[in-house]
Amino acid sequence: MLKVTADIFSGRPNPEWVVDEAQAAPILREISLSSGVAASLDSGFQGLGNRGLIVEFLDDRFATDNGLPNSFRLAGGGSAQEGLAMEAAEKLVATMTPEAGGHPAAASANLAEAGALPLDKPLQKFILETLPGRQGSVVTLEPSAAEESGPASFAAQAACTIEVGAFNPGFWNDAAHIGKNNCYNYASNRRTDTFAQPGRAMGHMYAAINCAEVTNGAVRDGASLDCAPANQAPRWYMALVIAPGPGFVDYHWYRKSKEGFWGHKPGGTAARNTDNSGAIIFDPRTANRGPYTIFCRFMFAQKKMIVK
Amino acid sequence: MGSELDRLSRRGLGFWAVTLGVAVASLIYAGASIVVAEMLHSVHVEADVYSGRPNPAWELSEADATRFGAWIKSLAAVSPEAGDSAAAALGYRGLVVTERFGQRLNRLRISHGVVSSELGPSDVRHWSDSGRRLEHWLLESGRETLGEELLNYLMQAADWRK
Repeated sequence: MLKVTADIFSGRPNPEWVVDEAQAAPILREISLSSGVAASLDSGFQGLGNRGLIVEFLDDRFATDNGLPNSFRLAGGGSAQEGLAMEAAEKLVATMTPEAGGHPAAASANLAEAGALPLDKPLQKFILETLPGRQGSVVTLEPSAAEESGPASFAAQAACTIEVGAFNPGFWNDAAHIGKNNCYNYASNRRTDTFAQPGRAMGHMYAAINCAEVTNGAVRDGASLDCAPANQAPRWYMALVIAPGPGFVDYHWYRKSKEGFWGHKPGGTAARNTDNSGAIIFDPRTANRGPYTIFCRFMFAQKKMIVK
Repeated sequence: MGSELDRLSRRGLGFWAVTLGVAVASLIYAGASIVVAEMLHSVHVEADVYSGRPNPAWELSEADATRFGAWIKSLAAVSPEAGDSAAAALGYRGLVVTERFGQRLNRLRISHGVVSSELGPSDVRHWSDSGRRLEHWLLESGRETLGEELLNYLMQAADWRK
């Protein structure tokens, strides 16, 4: 027996279903034939939205027979062979509906009470269309999309409501301010003229430059890792990346704009919406970020955030 | 009466003598200040490299500042098009040098083998830093501030850039 979880929601329970041995065996054989298809649980996209499938063996013999780890992530953007991982993920998602033999991992009454969605074809379609392993898939977080799609929409349930402002580089690039504000000022949308550092406003700046330390610094300043409540509007959507070295060690932030692309301000230089290749940034995870090779995570600036 | 007038006259002369003395002394002092200000020459170098962290920066020694001044004067002017190469947004973007002569500042950007100076809103001059020798020399002068690893990265990055 195999449990498959579509790791997709933030608030409500993720869709989970159990696949029997006969159905799972040929899919698992395909996964085990190529190394690197099954990825570790902490790999790939870890932000808001579809983070791929989590596959767990419910029986240790079954895992040993296939030479696979007891649990792994599939098509979350972290597989070494993402094309093969997507193929396997599609086959597993096809087993999800009751018509295809899938059945919920817990009692239906309990799931409904907890707010779980029925394992039906619309949900199946949504999971398949938003898998990070699918080329070109993006996580939709525009507030208009979340609001307009209504409460029954899967996109709205997977996303958070955020605010987005029009891209306004002139606000940052005039001579009096350009050199005094950095990427953190821009991403948090707070022009303090202090070349702000994560955590400094709270008297506890990052102690080292890595994802955990810089994230914690921003959280101390009032940023949120999860969806922020409406009373914390404006909630700006930010992304953190790290240049890990050797030699060059730094952090960098982006902020999503109303137009759908992302803006950023590299240090004391001009705010812009293009990457190191000159391409407009529609996804900071895939943009040319030069030496900032580690994508850490998405975060939310919120009303109570203070930077210095 | 006569002696009273003499005394007042002597007082008036004394006043003017003191006033004149103060004025002369002020002029001498002001002149000396101008000379001293002109003699003060410092060079501040900033490696424009980081996005989040403050950029590393250092001052040239007096001897290096003198050498830098002479070096800049020896550079050959190049066309405005030479300064058009846009630096990549993330990563090493070049050096920003602020030369101070007393109260006067001269700000230069050194990257892509070109030294650029903005003399006015629409007056940017460019000179050739052939072989990026000046850029390398300035980076080397910041070894203590930059540390070995960052210095090596910047030296290599300077050469990668077109």
